[in-house]
Amino acid sequence: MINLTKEKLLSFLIYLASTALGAISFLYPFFTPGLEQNVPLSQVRAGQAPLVYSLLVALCLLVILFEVQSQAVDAKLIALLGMLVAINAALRFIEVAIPGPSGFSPIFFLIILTGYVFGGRFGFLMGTLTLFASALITGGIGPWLPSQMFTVGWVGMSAPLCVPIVRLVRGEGKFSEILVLMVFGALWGLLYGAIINLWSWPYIAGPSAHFYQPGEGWLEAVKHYSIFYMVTSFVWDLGRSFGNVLLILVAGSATLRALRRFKQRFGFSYQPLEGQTV
Amino acid sequence: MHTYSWLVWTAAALICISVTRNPLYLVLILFVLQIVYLMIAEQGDEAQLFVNPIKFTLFVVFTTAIFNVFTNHFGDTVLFTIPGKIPLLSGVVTLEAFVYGMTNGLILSGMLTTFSILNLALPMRALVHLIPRAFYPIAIITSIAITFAPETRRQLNQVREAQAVRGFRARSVKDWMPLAMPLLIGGLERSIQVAETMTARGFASANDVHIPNIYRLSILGGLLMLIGGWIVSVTSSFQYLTFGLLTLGSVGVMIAFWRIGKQTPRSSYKKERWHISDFFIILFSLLALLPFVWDIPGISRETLYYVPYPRLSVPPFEPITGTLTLGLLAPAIIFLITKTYAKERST
Amino acid sequence: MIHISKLTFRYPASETDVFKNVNLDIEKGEFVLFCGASGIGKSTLLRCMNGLVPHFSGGEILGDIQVAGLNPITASPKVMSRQVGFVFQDPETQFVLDRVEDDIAFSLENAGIPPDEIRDRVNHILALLELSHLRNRTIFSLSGGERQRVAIAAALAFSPSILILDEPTSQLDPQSAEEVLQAVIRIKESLQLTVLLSEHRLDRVLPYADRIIYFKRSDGEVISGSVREILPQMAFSPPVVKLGKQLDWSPLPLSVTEAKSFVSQYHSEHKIAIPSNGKKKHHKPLLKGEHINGGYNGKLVLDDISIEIKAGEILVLIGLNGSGKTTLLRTLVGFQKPKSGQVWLDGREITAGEPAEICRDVGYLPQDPNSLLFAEHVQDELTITLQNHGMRNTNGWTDELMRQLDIYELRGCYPRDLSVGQRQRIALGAILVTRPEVLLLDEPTRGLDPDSKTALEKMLKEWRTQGKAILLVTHDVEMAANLADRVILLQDGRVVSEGDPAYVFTQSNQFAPQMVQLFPDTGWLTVQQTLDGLEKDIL
Repeated sequence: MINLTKEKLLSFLIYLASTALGAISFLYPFFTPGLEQNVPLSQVRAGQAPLVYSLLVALCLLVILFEVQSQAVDAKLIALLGMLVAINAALRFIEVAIPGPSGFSPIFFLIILTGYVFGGRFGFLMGTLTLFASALITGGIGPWLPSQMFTVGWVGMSAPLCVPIVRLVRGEGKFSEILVLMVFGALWGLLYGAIINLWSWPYIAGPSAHFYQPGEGWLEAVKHYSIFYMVTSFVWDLGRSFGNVLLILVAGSATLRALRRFKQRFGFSYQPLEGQTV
Repeated sequence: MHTYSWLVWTAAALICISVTRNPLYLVLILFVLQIVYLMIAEQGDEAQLFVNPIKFTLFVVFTTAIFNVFTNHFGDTVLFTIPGKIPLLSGVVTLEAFVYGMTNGLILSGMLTTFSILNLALPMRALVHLIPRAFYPIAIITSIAITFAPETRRQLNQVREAQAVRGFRARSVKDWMPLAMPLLIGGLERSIQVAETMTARGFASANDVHIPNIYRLSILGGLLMLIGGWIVSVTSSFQYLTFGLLTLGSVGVMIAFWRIGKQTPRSSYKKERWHISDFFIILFSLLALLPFVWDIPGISRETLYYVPYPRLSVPPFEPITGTLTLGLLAPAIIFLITKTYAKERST
Repeated sequence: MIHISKLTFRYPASETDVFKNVNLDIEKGEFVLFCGASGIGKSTLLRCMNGLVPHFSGGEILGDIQVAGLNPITASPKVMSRQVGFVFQDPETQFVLDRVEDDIAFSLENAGIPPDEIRDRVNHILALLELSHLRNRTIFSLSGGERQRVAIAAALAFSPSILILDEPTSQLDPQSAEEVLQAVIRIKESLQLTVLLSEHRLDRVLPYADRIIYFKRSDGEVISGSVREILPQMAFSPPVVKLGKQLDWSPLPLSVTEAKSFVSQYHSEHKIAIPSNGKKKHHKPLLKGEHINGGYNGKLVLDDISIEIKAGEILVLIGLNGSGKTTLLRTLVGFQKPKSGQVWLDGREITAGEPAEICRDVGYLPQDPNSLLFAEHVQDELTITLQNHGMRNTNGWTDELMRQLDIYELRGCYPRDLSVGQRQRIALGAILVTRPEVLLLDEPTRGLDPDSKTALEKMLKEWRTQGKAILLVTHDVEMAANLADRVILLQDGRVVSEGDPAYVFTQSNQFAPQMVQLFPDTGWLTVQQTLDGLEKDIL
């Protein structure tokens, strides 16, 4: 018994540490002014920084993946995830087919809903592996992949947060459930874009872009970034948010019913750990 | 070519690109990369070359240059001035900013090209095989997904026809339901069949392997060291401490995964063979990397760090560094040799 | 080898036992056939042998079962997989990895077997099943028969002593089915396996089976005995067997070859001229295809085909795989535009029409009706089609149609939970609800058990009487023999033979019903016709 709780504690700490590390790795561009201490070599450090931090994010991703999957060694779950990831990855091709500028991505729909129905860890795997599998299929492995996988994983992992909210408004099976999910999808549509854009910012704007502005701290960097964000990706992200909302509105309830019926019929023994919505 | 040699080459290219900000070196590296890309794309599948790499590079370089020019207003060589108080845009537009932005673009497109080459060179299955054994459920899930994803598209066509048979036409987003639902439900049902097949073939369906707490502790320790390293790097300039912590932390985590992987009773029956060409590729990649990360006596490393500000000047260039960089051409040369050898054999 | 005593099982959340107090003994090296209607418990019992029931399915199980010295209930499927190889029904979903080699090696990799040994075993199995030339192909590029053989290979990866196959050929066409069953018979001999096979298409395997285990319907009774003992008691058996039973031939012939010796006593009688097919009504052709040339990917699949489907008539289209049958159907309905030629529906040209439009008047049942069904309730499947066409449900038409199709009681059920036969009838409802006068059915017998087939035959005959024009594409020659007014034989995209069923069937060796093989030149197609004819002859 004691071993079991120690294990759970360790798991929890690992989740915490890796998420923290991942988050700060994402946010490092706001902190690089601290690096520019007038030493020419620090510019070199700043040049490597994006790569190093990408690797850190990749590492955090690996750690979380490890924790998440170690509870999911069941054939049914593996097959279910495999098939759903296959469908979601195939859906991603639609992204390319939609004309006009838009960040609309159909993959979030299933990631949010499966995370909601099957639990946070399922959602995390669903998100991460959708991107991984579609990157493999389309030959789209790139330096952005760890950050994307990490963030999308969190979309799925955080979906169970909707559960207590739905319970609060007593909306199971009713339209209010869909409404909650729609809001969730809209929020993540924007948040995802903002986070992912952080990856490209240093490359496009250059970490030492504000080197020559004396007295700049991280607040200035945030301002800089918000402008960068508005210019480059905000419209895109609006498209994504809107797409999520539309999909959940149109297909949400039927899909939820199908997923729930399936879960009940095949008796999944995969229960999310209590307090899993870290 | 062995997967690992490709990985070494990729790592070398990435490190070279990210270490230097000297446009001359970057252009050289990009030139090398373009050649490798064209060689690989030729021998690979047909339709992967949908983006002309040179045009793409130019596009990226130009766009980032423009972006930087209009958002950063420093430098002595003023081209023109944007008047007024528009946030971010107003101020002098300088040549230095242009060059600086261009450099960013060169770095970005260098990274992208490197990864494009990696994508072309390594088949899907090789990449899946890279997944460490400790992550074997994820490897299997990915394999299943890759196996069934193409089928999903075929299923979609089948569903579309089946729905047409009962008079259904997809006209708007709302009409996608009769297409999406059978697809989803069909997929769910099929997954059960796959699971049953896996179980009948002896797939471990319970958590047989218990991971001792020591590995978890080691992972946690590694993570804490990494966080520590980050804090140190931000708050002070003890580079070596940062570097040390980061390395130790990563290594600690990696070793934990490796040990856990050893515990699982799985084997892999595909063994890649090493060829002499792999040796050359690894050797030349490391040689190319050398001047970028090591202080070789007689070769100035300062040339790597070029800044156009405050006044634009011709970037320095160290010929030996340039020559060693050409080592990244190794894969292209190997392909050329094998191609001509194969042609000779067939005639 | 296998000893079962007083085995009882019930699925979770179910109130009835699937089977009760089953006793069974199977010796090493036996070839045992499991027969009985679908859904009666055969599959469940087979899955008890390797532990899938109850480990994968859940449920309550009572009784004793010993398989190869192990108890599947306490051992897990993981342990049982070393002794028992299992092959499932569906060639589309029975694999995990997409390369043939990799899929076969999957279970070996999982068990941590050293790589060299894996390589040896894989090579050995590939050679055994004649798959070596396919080892690098993706499974999706293989035919159904090849895929099932790969599934068998994967099941044999651990060199088990028992091989269980659960309806392995029900989704396959006759060629592939033959391929698979021959492979099973061959490896049984060379590997000295004990084989348990559940099948509906008994004709091919009867001569090789040692025993039959027959699930009598509904009362859960299971009888076991030698083939010739049990066959007469079974509700469905090949025509040859039925004939032999009626004529008291002894020993009961199991195949056409065995029956030939009995036929000689009748054969010396005079040859009977091919009887005309009764009333030669002049029916109106409702759906016509004229000089259709079509193909895709630069290949010519249909070569100058002209076809007429007349009201009140069942036209059967037969041909080998790849002869163009499905392409022809799809061209008629508008999914493929022909390179040249026209399609006429009741005088109107529809060559360039939209399938969704055409299908209001031409009911088309595709090969896999599952893709049609997605509603929550059976009755919705019918109303959705009406909505799609902008038609209204007048005077309880949908209810009446459901009653005709014997699915009225199921109208509130979730369609995908139902059996194959039921789902097919629901799909038929979904396409018949617009009251089309023409009906095209593409391989409707795939995966159907004998009971559902009989029900389908009845319905088709009923619709024929109502005056519908029916085109039936099928591999099932016995069903064709029962139903066809006219037969068209397609080969390489060309009509090779057309006309009277007796005439066309005698033209082709591969597509001859058993009665035709036994009594060629008599024009007898079914058991009933043969019996009548012989009676007339004798008198």
